[in-house]
Amino acid sequence: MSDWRANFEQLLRANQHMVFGLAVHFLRDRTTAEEIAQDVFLALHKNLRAVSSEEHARYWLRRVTAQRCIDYARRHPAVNVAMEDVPEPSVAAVENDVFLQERLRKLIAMLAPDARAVMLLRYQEDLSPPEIAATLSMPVATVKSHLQRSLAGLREKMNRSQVSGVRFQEKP
Amino acid sequence: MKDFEDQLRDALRTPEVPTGFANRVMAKLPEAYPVRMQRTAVFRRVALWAAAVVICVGTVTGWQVERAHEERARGEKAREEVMLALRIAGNKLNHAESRVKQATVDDGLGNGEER
Repeated sequence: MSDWRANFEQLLRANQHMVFGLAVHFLRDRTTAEEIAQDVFLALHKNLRAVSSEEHARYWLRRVTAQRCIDYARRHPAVNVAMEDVPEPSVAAVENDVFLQERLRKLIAMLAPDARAVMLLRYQEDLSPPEIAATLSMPVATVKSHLQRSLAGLREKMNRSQVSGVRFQEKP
Repeated sequence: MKDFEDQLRDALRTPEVPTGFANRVMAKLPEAYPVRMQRTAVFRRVALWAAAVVICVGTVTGWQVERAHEERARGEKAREEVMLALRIAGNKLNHAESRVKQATVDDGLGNGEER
């Protein structure tokens, strides 16, 4: 096997969880997420010469994955449902409950495409607002505004569904 | 109690990748390093743009030449019509002059005779 194939496979195996994770959390559809993830890696292969380091490749992959997911969500608006339209759960969620995590993921998937990408890069990838701004080519102020509004919306929606007294508080 | 942002991080832990994902991607890769393909793609794009520019310039130039030709033809036609009109007017004047001269001779006015 030639060197470039071995290097590419190493990049692929090191980043497949991140790329697939972003796509599947964004789209909530494993089949479409896999298609997008494959396309992203094939695009990376085409642009391999422009990639200067593993860190650069990771940055490039995050950027392209987020952009492709946003484009997909814009082209398929039927899959976007407003967060306000999501029904309250019939049973109360308990902290650390898998149902609560699933509900959070569903609510994140209801956000507008740009806001969704910002939230995923912040809480899946642990990027700072300036890093997210650079990845998505948007002003830092816009990133912060997306984060604030999305967090407030999610917190409100989750608190409304908490009937067992568990409430989410902002960090002091 | 966990902080809401920590709950989000827990909820967004990276999921398991489908089995065989990396192998499927590797199977789709071409055998060759993609440099040549990139150059071909760039060349094709440049050629496409060049062709589009040549077509646009050709269309505009052709249209302007055609317009100039039509204007020249219109000018020629107008000139011919003016010349024809002048020729007809000249003939009419000659005819009228000869009639006047003839009438003058017939009336004897041409010799200064009184009635």
